Amino acid sequence: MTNERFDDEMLASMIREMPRADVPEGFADRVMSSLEPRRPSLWERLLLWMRRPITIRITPVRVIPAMAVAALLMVMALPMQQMAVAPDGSGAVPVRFVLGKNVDARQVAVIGSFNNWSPDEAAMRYDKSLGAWVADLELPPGTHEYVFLVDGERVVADPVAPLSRDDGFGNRNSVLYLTGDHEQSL
Amino acid sequence: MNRGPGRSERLSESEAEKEIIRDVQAGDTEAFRFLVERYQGPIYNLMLRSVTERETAADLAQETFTKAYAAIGRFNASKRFFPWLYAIGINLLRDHMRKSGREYTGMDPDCLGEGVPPVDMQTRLDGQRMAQEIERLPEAYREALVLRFREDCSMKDIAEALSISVSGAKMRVSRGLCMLRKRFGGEKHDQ
Repeated sequence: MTNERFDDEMLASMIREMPRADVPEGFADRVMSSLEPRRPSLWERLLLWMRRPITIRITPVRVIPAMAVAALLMVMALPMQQMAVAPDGSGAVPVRFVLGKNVDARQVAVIGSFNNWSPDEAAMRYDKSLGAWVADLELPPGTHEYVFLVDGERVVADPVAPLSRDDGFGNRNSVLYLTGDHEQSL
Repeated sequence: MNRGPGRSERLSESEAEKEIIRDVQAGDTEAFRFLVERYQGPIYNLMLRSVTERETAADLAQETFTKAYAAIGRFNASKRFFPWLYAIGINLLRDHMRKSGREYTGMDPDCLGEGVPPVDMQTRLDGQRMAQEIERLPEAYREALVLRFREDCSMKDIAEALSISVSGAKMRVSRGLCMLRKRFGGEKHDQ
């Protein structure tokens, strides 16, 4: 008889070899028959379009004229681009986040896709004149999701945000959509 | 419609899945069948580990897919679908257990297996026995182990599926293994 450590590798192997119960026959048909055809909303179609990768094929015959056209467009677009960027030249859009009145909190942070959901980078200050928690940030144009983190533990969606999105875990994230012209924010 | 590997030979498996998800998002309902057929096994078995009644497990699995379909417009197709789907399933399962008044087998921070005799030598390598031992673990650890070793998920995927941090996922896998070691007596004896 030999004694040997019953190690994690063996346990992992046993878990891998566990029998799996067969799915009832016709399960997929049952699921599919319960689904209603869905027509994506305008917003969903827009997001889908923005997220879909674009494949570009280049052939040598097309490279030279394409580069010439691109160079021409860059020259033409230069004055417009200079108008579109922020005063500091970064292209970032100034955004004010406000968590309104009647919020009982010792500290509040705004966390979102723009700061990797890190509360350390976006603490909000309490503005006595407004009676609200405020953070002024500069964000790149595009779609951002965010929530407020109250006292380091309570997650609150922005009550005045017109758009929100299910995070897949039963909570909702507020959605901010910024264009580069500093005018559009939702 | 062929949605299998032959659909796009140049795409990797994960890329093909992303394409299919985008098709569903764009309104192609039938494309969702590929996702159902691909993940029905893990989701059905997830339910069966907790509710044991096959009909109830099938109903919960179906509801998981129905909810995922309803929410798929908001899913970011650049991410992995399975952890997202699994998280929906786990939440449904917990709701069901709560409503049916059954005990939720949550955390067991002491990582103890005392009070339960080690299994005998002949059953140690039996996958069926392991399945029984896995079922007896608290859900928090059980699903972390199944995802890691049965479904071959990364720690990041486990974290997403269980709605916890990556370090939390590592902790659960580690402690889950610890519990199993205790259950299996800690040593292997080969004759």
